Amino acid sequence: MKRCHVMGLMVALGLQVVVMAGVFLGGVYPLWVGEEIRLETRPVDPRDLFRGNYARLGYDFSTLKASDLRPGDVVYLPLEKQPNEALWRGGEPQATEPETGLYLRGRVAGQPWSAGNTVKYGIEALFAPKEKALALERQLRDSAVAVVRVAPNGKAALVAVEAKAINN
Amino acid sequence: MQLLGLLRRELRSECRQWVADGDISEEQGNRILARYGTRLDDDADSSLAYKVLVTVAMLFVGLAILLLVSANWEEIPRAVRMLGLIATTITLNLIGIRGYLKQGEGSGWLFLGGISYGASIMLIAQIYHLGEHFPDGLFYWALGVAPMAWLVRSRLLALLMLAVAFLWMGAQGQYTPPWAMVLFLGVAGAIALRAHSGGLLLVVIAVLVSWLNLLLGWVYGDGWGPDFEAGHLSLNMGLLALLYAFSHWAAQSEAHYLRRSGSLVGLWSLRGYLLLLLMFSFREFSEGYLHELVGLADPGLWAGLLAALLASVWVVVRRLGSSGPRLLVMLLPFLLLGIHAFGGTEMARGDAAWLFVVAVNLLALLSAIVLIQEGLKRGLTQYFYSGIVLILLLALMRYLDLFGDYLGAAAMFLVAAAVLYGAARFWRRQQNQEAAGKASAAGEGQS
Repeated sequence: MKRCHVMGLMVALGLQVVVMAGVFLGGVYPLWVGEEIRLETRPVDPRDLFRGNYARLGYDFSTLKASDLRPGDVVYLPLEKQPNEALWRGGEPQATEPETGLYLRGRVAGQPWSAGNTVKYGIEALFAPKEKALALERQLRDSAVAVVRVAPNGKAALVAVEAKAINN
Repeated sequence: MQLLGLLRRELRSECRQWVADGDISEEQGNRILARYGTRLDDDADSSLAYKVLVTVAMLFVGLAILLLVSANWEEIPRAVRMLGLIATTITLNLIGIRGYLKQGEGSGWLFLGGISYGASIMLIAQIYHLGEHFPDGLFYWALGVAPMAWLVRSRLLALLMLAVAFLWMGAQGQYTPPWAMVLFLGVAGAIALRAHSGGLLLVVIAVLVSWLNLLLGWVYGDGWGPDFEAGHLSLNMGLLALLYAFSHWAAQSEAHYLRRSGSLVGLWSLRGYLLLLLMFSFREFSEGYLHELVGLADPGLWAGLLAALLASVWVVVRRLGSSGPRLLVMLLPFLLLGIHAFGGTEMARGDAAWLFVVAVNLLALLSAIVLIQEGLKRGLTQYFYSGIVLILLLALMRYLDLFGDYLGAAAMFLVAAAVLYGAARFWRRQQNQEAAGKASAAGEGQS
């Protein structure tokens, strides 16, 4: 009985390690296999209760207008880039997975009382020490570029935010 | 209900004094205390202060860990930060497991391990910028703590799991219905029963009530998000009746911890009932509630009706509580049906709503009288003073809001005075009859 109990406790501890490994792999997977792209963004600085300060990044394609998609629904955003442009742009969001090309996989997280739904792609926060996050907000208010790695399945990971002004 | 059981420490201290003064013997003292699940040599007092202080200290250490992670030590390499915290989590848990297996203790270390585990998840999310909205992290945190809490039957770990799960429910509940709460509530409820913890059971019930309200919000929101409507009040009326039935059922239990949790639930359900009465005693509030109801198709009605019917069957079959409140619980399903059939109609939109408000004010007055009488008859101070406070609050509010203008309010005060006077006369006559009965019984005994 005691041996069984010890096994149970070890399995419980093992579960915690597996979850931590899972969260780590989920975060690092797009960085390992993803293609690097650049997107235009606008940062502001709030605080997360458990993860500290961060710069919140808004994208033009974060808002869905006049959509019948509900909160929790999965959305696929095809990404497009013209040969002479440095930045990638979001196309028309769709409910089905695109068969070709690079795309972002997001989830609808909107408020029905607002004009449109919000879509979260997992690249909306850049965590940094407080002073750095505040400085980022000031420096990048007008023009900022998010460097993102996008895995083939649409999962994206934020690498950095740059102040570099890019003329298209 | 055994409200005195909630003051076990004071009771034990008094009893020790009675024994020391020679008023009662030690055996008598122990027999008295056994009714409340304690005894004269119970050393819970001395260890309680130690346990509480150590627990708060550990909580502070846990908060320090979370704040250290939040400070974002960017200059330290990612791998060092991450592996350091994961190693700390494993070490703390192993120390806790060792302590638990050797001496049946170690839940403090496991509690710290649980916080360190959550901090590790948050650190990974911080390092890899895993999105702004991250309820998944809270979910994984609660999920990882659940098996450990279950295996060591730790109230502390169960509370940590429930607190994190509650935060997850609030964060995730804005986007999808948090169905997985049933898992955390089930685990915490089972631990409360296995560890005989009345306090944990109360927390589980409070979280369960919040969860049911959120789920009803999703029904109203029609899949677009939680929407809070007037029908929530109907659900909570039904839940209050169910809690009343549970508290009286638990108060009859053989298990002391169930009796204690029954007393606590009884007190809080009484407070909830009084709060609802006071809110509905305002004309604007009642009118708003009646206007917003959507008739018999209201999901809040059916949810409240289910809870109220369960409560009615429970109090009738087990004959729980005293006759007045029992009658009210039995009538609640019909009241809810009546209110919803009446609500939302043209009649409710007109002046007829004031009838409802008058009825609620009279019900509040009757409730106050019953509380005062029950408090005096059964020696329950809480009931007595709840009744007094309810009457005074009611009088103050009606004097200020002038319900029915000056003449209407004056008439209402006169009716209230008549009801109070009648109740006082009835009470006095009953007391006299009881005293006469006792005197004649004593006379027959002497002859």
